[in-house]
Amino acid sequence: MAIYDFIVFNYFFYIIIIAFFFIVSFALMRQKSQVRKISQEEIDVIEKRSEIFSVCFKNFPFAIFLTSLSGKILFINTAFTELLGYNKKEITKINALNLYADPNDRILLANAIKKDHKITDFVINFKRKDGTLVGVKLNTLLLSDGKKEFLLTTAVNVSKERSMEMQLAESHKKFRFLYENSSDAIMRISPPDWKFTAGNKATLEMFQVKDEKTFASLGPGELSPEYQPDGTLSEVKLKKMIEKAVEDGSNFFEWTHKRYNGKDFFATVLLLLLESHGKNFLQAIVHDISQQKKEEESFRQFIKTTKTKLSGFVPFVGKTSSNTPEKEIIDFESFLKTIGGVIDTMKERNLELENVQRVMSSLLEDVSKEKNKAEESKKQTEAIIESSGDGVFVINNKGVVFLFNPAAEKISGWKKEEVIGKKYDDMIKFYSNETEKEPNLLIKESLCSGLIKKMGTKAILRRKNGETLPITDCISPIKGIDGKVTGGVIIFSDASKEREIDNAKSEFVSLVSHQLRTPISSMSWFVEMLMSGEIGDINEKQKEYLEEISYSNRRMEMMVSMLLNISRIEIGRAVIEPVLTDMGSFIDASLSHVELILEKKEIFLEKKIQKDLPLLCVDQKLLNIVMDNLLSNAVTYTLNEGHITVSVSKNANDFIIEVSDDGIGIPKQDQSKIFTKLFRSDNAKEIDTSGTGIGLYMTKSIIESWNGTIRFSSPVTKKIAADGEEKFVGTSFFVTIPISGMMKKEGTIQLT
Amino acid sequence: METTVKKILLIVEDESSARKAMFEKFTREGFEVVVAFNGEDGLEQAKKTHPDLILLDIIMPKMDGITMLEKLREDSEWGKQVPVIILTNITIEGDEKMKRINDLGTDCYLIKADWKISDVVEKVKTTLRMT
Repeated sequence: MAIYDFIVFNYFFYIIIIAFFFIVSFALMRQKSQVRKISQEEIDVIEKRSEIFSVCFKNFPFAIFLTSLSGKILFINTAFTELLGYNKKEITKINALNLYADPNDRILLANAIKKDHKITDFVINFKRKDGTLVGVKLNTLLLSDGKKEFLLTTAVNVSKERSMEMQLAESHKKFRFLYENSSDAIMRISPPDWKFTAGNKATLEMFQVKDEKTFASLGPGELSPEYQPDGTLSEVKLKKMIEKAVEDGSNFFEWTHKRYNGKDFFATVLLLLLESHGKNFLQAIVHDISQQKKEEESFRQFIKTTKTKLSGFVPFVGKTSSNTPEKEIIDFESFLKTIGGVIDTMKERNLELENVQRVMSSLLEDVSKEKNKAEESKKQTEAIIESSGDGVFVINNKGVVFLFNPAAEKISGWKKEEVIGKKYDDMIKFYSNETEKEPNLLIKESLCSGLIKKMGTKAILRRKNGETLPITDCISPIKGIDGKVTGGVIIFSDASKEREIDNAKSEFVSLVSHQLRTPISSMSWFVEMLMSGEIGDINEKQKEYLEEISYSNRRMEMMVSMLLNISRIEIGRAVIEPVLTDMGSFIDASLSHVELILEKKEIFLEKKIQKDLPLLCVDQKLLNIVMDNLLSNAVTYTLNEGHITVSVSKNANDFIIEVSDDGIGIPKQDQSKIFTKLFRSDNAKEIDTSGTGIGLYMTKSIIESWNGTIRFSSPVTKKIAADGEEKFVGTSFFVTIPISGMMKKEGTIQLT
Repeated sequence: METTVKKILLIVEDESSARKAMFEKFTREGFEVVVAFNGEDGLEQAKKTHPDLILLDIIMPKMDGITMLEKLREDSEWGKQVPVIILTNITIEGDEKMKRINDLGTDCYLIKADWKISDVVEKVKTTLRMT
């Protein structure tokens, strides 16, 4: 009897639990939409006609204003204040004419009114109270009350549309970011064959696919086992699920998927029918519920065990009557089944809710994280710009300044408040050099072309007080999402110190050249006149001594010349002025300089110019210095009756000039030092004591200034000496000039 | 009796050594040589003696060669056309300065250190033959 009581008691207990479940779940799932009714009170108020007008007028979503023909503003509404910043008190002091940003617009509109008595869809710029501009679409009517005439104008803010577009683009960008970085597997299948066309990172991880490309080659069928747990063919059930989603707009169901490497796993799938570019597609959010399934399975086990345990009690029941216990058993079993079924449904519904909630909350979390990150980085950027020692100001593509840092204030003499919101070119004027009367157009050019521009080395800024200041200046355009220029960043700094130093260096070079050369030239003239005999005959010894003086003098002169050129190269001021040159003729001209000495030393010269060489842009002065140096070296360090070859050729990247000789060569131990200043090999000193040691250093510097290269090999050839022995001799120098030619370089000085 | 008139040559040079070398050389070559020590002096001498050619240095005290040349060109019809050879030791930095010199009308610009004095003589003779 006690046992029967126990069962009955629990029977009721189960009913209560189930009832509780139903109540709770229905309460959870119900969403009442609330409809706001317009109250009777409001309707009553709106009855009076004049009040209808004023309420409508006041609350109209766009700006409306009423003016007299002379422009005196009589009424404005709330939207007007929101749009333009003037409140009702202030507006009576303003004439409507002051709202127009461009005075020409006033005239245009006044004429239109006169002609048509109205204005339709006129888009112009209005000026707000704070001076900023806003694009508005105007519609105006000329009204008359019999006695007086009025103008009623509506102004719709059209600049908002554009900013909405930008916001839309921004939110597209954000959505894309969220999609990519969401921890839920989001993927896309598209008609007609419903294969995967996109999948985010989480999708690839879940299915263990290597990359999106591989994923996009698959369909849902390939990532599912052949049969679903309910016995149906996956391919068949797939189609049904997809059709349902397309019909209803969405479909939520359980599915067994298969990972790419073969293992099955349980999942829930939420399909959503979406549209993009006029085409429909299904977005799927798939949730791996292997863990959940395990829990469900254990719950089922629990039910089963409970059932079994409870069934175990039945034989005792059988003792009271024959039929009733069995009935009880059957009812009890089916009841347990129902419980299980109901609980399953509960679980399903909860899962659905959970999933949706989870997706939403993770999206929200990501959005707020993004927002924080963006704010952080915005603050950082602002701090950097504020503290920069260079002047920075930022303009939009109309030239209106909206950022002006403290350094810019200091350098230009203008205060931030004087500049922000206004067009920069009224106040900040850059000129290309001291003599220019008109400011330069580099900022405008940069914004038009979308390219970074730098002002030249002589650029100056006219400060607020009129004085000029040398500056360096760089303009960078800002590009929006679509690649169009939306503004520019201008960074400029005071270059007075640098200009001073530059000028001082330049003056120094001039001075040195003059002071060093003066005694040299006087000396050489006197020596020349003595040696010519016009002052009187000189004996052999006197001639000899005079020649020594002459040599030393020439050396000094060469040194001064080279030192000056080096200092100019090092200061970086040597100019490069390329002209189209026929390399063959150029080499001929270079060789003519050494003709005499070639003859004297009986050196055989071979010239090899590649056929059909195109013209090349070279600075002939610079190339002359290089050729003279290499040729004079070759001639000096080749013995009598030697052999020199000069050739010009080209490959895919460069022109190559080669000067080769079979002379004394460069000893291996000296080769690493050959391009250093003042270095001379011992074997070279033996041949010629008057070399300066800076020829090759200067030659290399010049070649590098045109982005060319110089290298050499030594020894390069075999020669049979006078004593019949075979020796390895000679040197070859190779100079390259890029195939694009020498780039023009602005400097302020020429090399001599 | 001399039948050919000697050509008058004005040499404007502040450095005594160079001045002496040129004075003696050109005198030997048969020129009537007038010297000046700076630009101011040179201008005075030019107006006074109306030379057939002027050898002009640039770096000089009181008034440099370019300024003297400017004033000379503005001074008179004669001043505008008298041949001038610049003979100096400095290399002019910058295109604008060179342009200014060219605009003033000079026959050539020689760097003393690069030229033998006998070649300078030849240059003067050639220039005079052409005028």
